[in-house]
Amino acid sequence: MNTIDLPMSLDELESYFKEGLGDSISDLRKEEIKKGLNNRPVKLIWFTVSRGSFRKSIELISDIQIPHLSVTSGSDLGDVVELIYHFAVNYGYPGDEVSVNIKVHLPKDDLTIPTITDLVPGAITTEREKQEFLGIKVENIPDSRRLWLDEGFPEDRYPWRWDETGMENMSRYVHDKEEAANPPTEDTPREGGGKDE
Amino acid sequence: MSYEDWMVRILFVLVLPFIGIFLGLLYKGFDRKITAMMQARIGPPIRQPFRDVKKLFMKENIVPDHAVPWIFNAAPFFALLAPLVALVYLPLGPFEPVMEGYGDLILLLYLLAIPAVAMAVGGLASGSPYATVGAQRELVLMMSYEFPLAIAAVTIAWKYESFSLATISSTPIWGQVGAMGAFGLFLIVIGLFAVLPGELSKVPFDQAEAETELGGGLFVEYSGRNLGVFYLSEAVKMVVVGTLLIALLFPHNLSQWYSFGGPEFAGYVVLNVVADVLFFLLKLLIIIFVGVSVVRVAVARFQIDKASYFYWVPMTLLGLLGTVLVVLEGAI
Amino acid sequence: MSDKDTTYQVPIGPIHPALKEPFMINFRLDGETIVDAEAHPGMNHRGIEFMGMHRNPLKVIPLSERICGICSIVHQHMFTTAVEHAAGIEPTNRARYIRTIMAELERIHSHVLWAGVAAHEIGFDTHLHFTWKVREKVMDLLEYIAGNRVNYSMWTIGGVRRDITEKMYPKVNETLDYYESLYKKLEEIFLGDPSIRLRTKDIGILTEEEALRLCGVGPTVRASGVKKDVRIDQPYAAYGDLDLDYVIPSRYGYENTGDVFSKTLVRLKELVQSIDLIRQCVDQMPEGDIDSEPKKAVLLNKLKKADGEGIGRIEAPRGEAFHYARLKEGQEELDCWKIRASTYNNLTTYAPMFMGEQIADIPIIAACIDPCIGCMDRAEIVEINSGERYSYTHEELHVLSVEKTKKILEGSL
Repeated sequence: MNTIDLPMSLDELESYFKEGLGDSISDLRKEEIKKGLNNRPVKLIWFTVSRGSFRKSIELISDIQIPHLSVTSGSDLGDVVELIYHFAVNYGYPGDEVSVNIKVHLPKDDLTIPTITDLVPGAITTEREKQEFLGIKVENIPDSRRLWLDEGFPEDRYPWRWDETGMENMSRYVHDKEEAANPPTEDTPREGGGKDE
Repeated sequence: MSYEDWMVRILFVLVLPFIGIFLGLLYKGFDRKITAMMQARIGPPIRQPFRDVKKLFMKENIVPDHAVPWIFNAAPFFALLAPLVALVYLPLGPFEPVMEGYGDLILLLYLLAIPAVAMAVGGLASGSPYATVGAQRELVLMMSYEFPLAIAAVTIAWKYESFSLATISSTPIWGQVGAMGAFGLFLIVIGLFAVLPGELSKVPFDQAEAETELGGGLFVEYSGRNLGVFYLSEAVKMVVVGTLLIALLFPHNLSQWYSFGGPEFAGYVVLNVVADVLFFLLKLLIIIFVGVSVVRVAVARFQIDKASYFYWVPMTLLGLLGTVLVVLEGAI
Repeated sequence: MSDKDTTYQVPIGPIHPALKEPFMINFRLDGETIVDAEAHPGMNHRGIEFMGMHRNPLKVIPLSERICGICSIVHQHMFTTAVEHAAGIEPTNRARYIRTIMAELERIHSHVLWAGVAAHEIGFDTHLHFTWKVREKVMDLLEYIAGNRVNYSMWTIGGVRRDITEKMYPKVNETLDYYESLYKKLEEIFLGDPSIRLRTKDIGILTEEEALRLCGVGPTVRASGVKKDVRIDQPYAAYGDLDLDYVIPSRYGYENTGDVFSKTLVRLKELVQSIDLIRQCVDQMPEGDIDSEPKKAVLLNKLKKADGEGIGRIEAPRGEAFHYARLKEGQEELDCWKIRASTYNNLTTYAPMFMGEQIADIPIIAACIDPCIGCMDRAEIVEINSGERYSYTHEELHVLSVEKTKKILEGSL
């Protein structure tokens, strides 16, 4: 491991990741937002990596400092599920912290991603959450049980997906499930009027 | 003993439990009110414990599936009966103990241990992990505070060469010792006051119940009538322990110093007795205030090992030092 | 020890006096010693993110506020920051300062509340009553500024909805003076009292290494000497203009032990820091508008046209919290919204803190990361003077609350 001078500037980080990841990095975007009267900048960096070199990018971050993973956010983009790992590097250096946001796209027919809990033990909560809410499979996760959702929640439904495995149909009829099972007829009309549909 | 004597005794034995329960609930009310005032709260009215008991007795009595029902149901009654029996052997203010004998003090110490054991047995029989932990803690705590208590009792009994409470309370012990002995007795008083919250399961020694840790501990599965009986047991125990402390160390009566009127005034005996009873109630209030209310406002709950250490090492050593001082003075 | 397994299981939660919210920790115990601890959250998952993804950003602000009763400022602050970032809207400078003042006031009330809960957990109810009594002062100030005790509804995208005018400064200063004079007493109680020291020293230790590895946040890890504080690392709102430093125990001559005592120390010192920060804000508050886009229809249109993603990262009283929001062109609803509260990251720090400790330490350790707790509110009032007792209905309480707020605003309370 080379010694890295901290804090790293945005340009240094850009060349560091480009060098380390080569071709598998794309859509790299740097942001500097000036805030307050003194115009102190907030620095961010966004980039997409291929699944193959995803672990390599986490290793690169681990080489800088013990990685601080804020959270993993994820969403359903149609054909792919996008995961964004929000890291913070340069913590402990006033005003120099950079948010590093690493995006990974997983095709819907193969929703697997390697675990990073060996590098970032604190990632276990968010990895388990992604398994439940997006239906992805984290490989070699030390603990794959459910964390947030109720035991009775169907195994093949994922709240953050917008396709047929999502919750759209579920949530609409959850409140009158009983009624859906026994729809009102002319002989047994709905009590108290009900909606005009 | 004459026939009338026996009748009076039986009457007293029948009446005393009600007096004990009434006083216990009353003092519980005082304790709660005073504590609330010290914590800058309004607090419940004095009669709140009576309402609590009334309500508990109205509620359903639930026996959990995992419990051993007969032990579970019997435990609260043993816990209540023991302090009620103890009351019979205690001098209440100007009145002599209803029953007396040669080993009163030893009997009392055993009677005082029964509620704790009954609570632990009931807790273990309820089949809840919280209650099991609570029962373990109660037993550990009991083994810890019994030692300083026994030392104090033995020292005082040694001075009188009698285990009879009637003898001990007839003459205050402070008049029988010199300066060194008084200092030794003072150390024993400290030890006894330290035992008080442990004996009554109050902060900092309420580990067996520990609301925030075990959610009620021993009593977690108890409800309705059974919990109400435990509540009464706790209240009576407070009176018994307080009275024991008074009998051992402060058996003074007001009439020793001041008499209302003289033999020429017909009702003076009654008046003096009433004054003595009031004085006794005041002493009890002070003891409960100092030993329970103030302590529970001023400290946090100890961990069980630290509580045990507190009784086994500093308090035991303090008690032993007191004993040595009292005995040495007698030898000189 | 024999080979026989002498351990047994004790579940703490979902409903337990040690926890102020539905949450469960499963403990494996050997006698009184903890050998394993496992947290089971999700007892109260309400699907707020899902709900948010079906609403437009302006409607999500009140929703985000109701994620938590204590950190109601935190979530609206993060959410608006994230959306502003995504849509490229800049809040005005005055709004930044007002946001900072509100956030610091909330930190004061949250830390004082925590101190009370911590005292209660170790069986010291006297301090629970004391701290919650003194907390009312800052709650009143918040009500004076925002019109509400909790759920202040101050934030909007591009600024804030209520101004802190010069007329309000005396009241703000008075409250700050009150807490400054009070601090000495709080320090005496929580750092000096022998029975509290007995219960907090060397209990629930989190080493610096573990704190970093487990991505812990906030006072929980600062007590271990970790320098992580979003206010300093990546200044948001007006923190870039203010003078502040990491609150870690070694700055005050204590060791960075990471036990409950250090966590208490860090929270108390942050109280002082917050008072100082509010004073700085009041001194250098810039003139100007409080909202960069007062016309909400125009704003909504702008948000509908916006296309981008943004993050909102702030230092909540409990540590770093995070929101991610994405807007899609032509779509009124949020495209993606991810909420991460501080307790989420601190959950993993429970395991090393509990290991080898006693049952008696469970409540205080569970409380020491300050898990997000529900809020206190008015429910019943007992009229002692007349001896009568009322139970107020919802409407009556509402009327009373409005009256009290008016009184505070008039300065008669």
